[in-house]
Amino acid sequence: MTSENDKTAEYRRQPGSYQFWLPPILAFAGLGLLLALGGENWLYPLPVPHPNYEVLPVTGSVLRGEVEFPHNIQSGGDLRVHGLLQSVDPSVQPKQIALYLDNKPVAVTEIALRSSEGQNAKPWYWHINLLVKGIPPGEHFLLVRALGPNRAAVDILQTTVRVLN
Amino acid sequence: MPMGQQFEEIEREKNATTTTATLQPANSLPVSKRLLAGFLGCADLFTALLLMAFVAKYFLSQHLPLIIREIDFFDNSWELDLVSKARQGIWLGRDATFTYGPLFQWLFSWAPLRHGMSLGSFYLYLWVFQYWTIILILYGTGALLLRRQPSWVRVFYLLLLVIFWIPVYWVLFDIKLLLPLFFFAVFLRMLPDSNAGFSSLWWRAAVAAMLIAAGCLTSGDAGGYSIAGFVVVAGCSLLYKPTWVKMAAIAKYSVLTAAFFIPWILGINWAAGGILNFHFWRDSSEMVTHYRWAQAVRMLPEMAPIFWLGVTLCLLIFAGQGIVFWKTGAITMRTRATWLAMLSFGLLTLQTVIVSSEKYHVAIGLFPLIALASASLLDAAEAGDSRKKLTVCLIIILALTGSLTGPNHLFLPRNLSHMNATAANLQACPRGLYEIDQVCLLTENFSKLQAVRDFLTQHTSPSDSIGVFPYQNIYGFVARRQVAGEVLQHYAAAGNYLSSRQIESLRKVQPAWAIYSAEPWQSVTMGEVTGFTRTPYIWLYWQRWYKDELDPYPGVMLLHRDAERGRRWSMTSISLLTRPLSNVHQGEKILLRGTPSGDDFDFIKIDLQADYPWWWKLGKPSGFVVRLHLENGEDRSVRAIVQPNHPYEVWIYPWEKAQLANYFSPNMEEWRSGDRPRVQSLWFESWPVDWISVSPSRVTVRDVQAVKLLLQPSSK
Repeated sequence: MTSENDKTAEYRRQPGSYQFWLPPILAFAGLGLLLALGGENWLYPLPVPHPNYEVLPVTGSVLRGEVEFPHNIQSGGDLRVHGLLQSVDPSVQPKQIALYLDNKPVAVTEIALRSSEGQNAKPWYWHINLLVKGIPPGEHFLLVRALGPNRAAVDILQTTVRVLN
Repeated sequence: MPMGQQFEEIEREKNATTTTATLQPANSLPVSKRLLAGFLGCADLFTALLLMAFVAKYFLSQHLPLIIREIDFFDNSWELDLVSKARQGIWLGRDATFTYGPLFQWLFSWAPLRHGMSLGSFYLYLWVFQYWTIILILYGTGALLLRRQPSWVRVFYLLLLVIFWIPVYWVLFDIKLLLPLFFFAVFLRMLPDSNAGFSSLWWRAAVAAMLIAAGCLTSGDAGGYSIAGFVVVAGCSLLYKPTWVKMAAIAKYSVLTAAFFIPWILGINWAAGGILNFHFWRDSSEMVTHYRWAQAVRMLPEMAPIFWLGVTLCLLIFAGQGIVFWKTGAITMRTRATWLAMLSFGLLTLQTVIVSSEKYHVAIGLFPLIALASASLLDAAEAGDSRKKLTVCLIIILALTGSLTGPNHLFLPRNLSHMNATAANLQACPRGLYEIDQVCLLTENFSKLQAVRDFLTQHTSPSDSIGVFPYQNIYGFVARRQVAGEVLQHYAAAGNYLSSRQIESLRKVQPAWAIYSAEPWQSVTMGEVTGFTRTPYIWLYWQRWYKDELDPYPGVMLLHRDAERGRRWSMTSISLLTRPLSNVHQGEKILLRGTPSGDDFDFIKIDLQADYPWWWKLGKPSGFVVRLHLENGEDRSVRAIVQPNHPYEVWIYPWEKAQLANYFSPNMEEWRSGDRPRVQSLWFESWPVDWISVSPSRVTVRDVQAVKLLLQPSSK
């Protein structure tokens, strides 16, 4: 895109003093140094929204699906955990979903199974709402467990939630 | 003296000075030195070619299957569908519509289609396409904006932008803005002098018209920005010492450009369906117009200081340059006009940031201003005392670059060696990853894609179309089936025209199978607005004519067309409002008359109009929240979108959005399973999504209705 005159004029400039060589040396040495230092590209630290809720996949050998849970709960507010799960083996169906806070059972819900057709077990939706009362502020361990016949248990989610004042 | 002549004399003087300093004429130099001179003069071009070769080597040396791990179902779905549709001869602008155009679709799909369409080849060439377009466009922009600088300055500019400043994220670093940036540089270069004759004007106008047409064919946005670039260049050249001669030249140039654009319009019409069929232009215009309100994304509070820092630094650079011009009398009018045009165009492209203010669009939207400010600084050498000034400018640029950004990961030496090692060793997917369509994925992504692909290949033929809701066209790609719908993604079908067109096209095709991905499990909500609330009539179309047949993965439902269900389907509504409310205040509660219980209705439909002042088109409209007070004491809120200054229907599902998937059950009793407490009252809040959003001046509620869906008993 440069004209012939520009190119010729460029070549004609002779290195008369340090002023001629300094700018290109500075420019490319500077770029090389910045490349070697390897800081973080400006795109990556830009902020992204972090919703209070997160959806995590469940990919076990018994159950699969997704579960949604909050990161923070206001003291006096609701702890809401819900999910959509499906039995990998249609003949093995859990009966209940239980919620544990700091390894203590705090809530349980019965599973309302939808009719299955042949080998395809229908996924089932469940939710648990728990009023957060009398739980001290801070990090707490949250466990969601599916309970099958004969009290066989499958852990669905293990995470921490923060109770805010 | 006319400005053009003034400009030319200064140029002549400058050339004369250079010639005086010359030791010997160039053409008397030995051939080797002349070759070297030629090479050095084109160093930026060779650097661009080297960068492209490096990118090709880096990506194309990878073996398939590629390790992808997780797929971004949202953006990759439309990208993959563009390739899929190109393979089937379905072209944007003619057979379908989206925020991009046929030129982009052709460029984007060219390589994957020639090297065997698969997820693997798509991802491989995606990056090559991405970086090659960036490198070529930035080379062209630098060559034009810095043409009076030595070639090493242009090399520096190219490396600076490509390595440190391009915000690459999938294809979101976006040709929609890059191409207009290059076209703007061309318009600047081609601006005719005041005394330009017809022969000089016509070819410039022909090129300008062609570039604007190329912008329009790339995307509606690119077309808009290209036209804006032309107008800005022409307008800024008039602002400095306008004379009748100059105005006449610019007027002739503009009229000629418009005249040359007419054959392009007719040609595009012809390719899109008929010489007088303007649907390409209508589609593009509708897409661009509705994007501003339907797909506006809020700017996070933490993002605002970053945005202002970027804009302020760029403005300071332009301001410093302006002061230099003001103090230096020898600066040409053309240089001043160029400075003003670059500043104006850079600010104009911030529209992208204003409308869609999430991380990637902020980075993309700021880039043209950064690129233009950098070029402005590096071009400062034109203004006398050049070497010292250039050195100072370089120090400023390097200091800002070092303090604000680092190299793109592609150019980090450690990543390159890691990639070479991985590419050399990989023959199959590593443990824990599973191969499908030449990519390696984690279990969850793999299971879903495999289950749906296997089902579709068994139950449909390659010529069949399938349906998708809300946006997972990727299922069509992996099964090599066409996804029905003339609007490539349902979420882009905003406004009456596009929405009706989408439903009409679905009615025409009537795919036998559709894939429904339930929220929140398998679909993300754009701007926290559910797919149902965003495109209620499209959701109702699927719900009416399709029933859940198989759930191959939780939240992924294979729906089968059921004409009998469609015929038995009906929708009733009752008004819950005693009289229309002409001016609803912020947070004013609307008490509803005798709301039915949860088992007796399904949705709430609000007929309203939100009037905005005219300047909302410079920003974005407020978001809408419908707040509901339920009988059990619970307060719920549902996010919605409302088309400004237009009668609009807001449809909401008052309860848990996960329950919406139940409505596809063949059994009507299962539609309303789960808790559905009675709604006692509702009220609106226009929710200012960020500091840019404009609040409505008036909200009129014409009606609030409870809507119920029914399946009439079978006649058998």
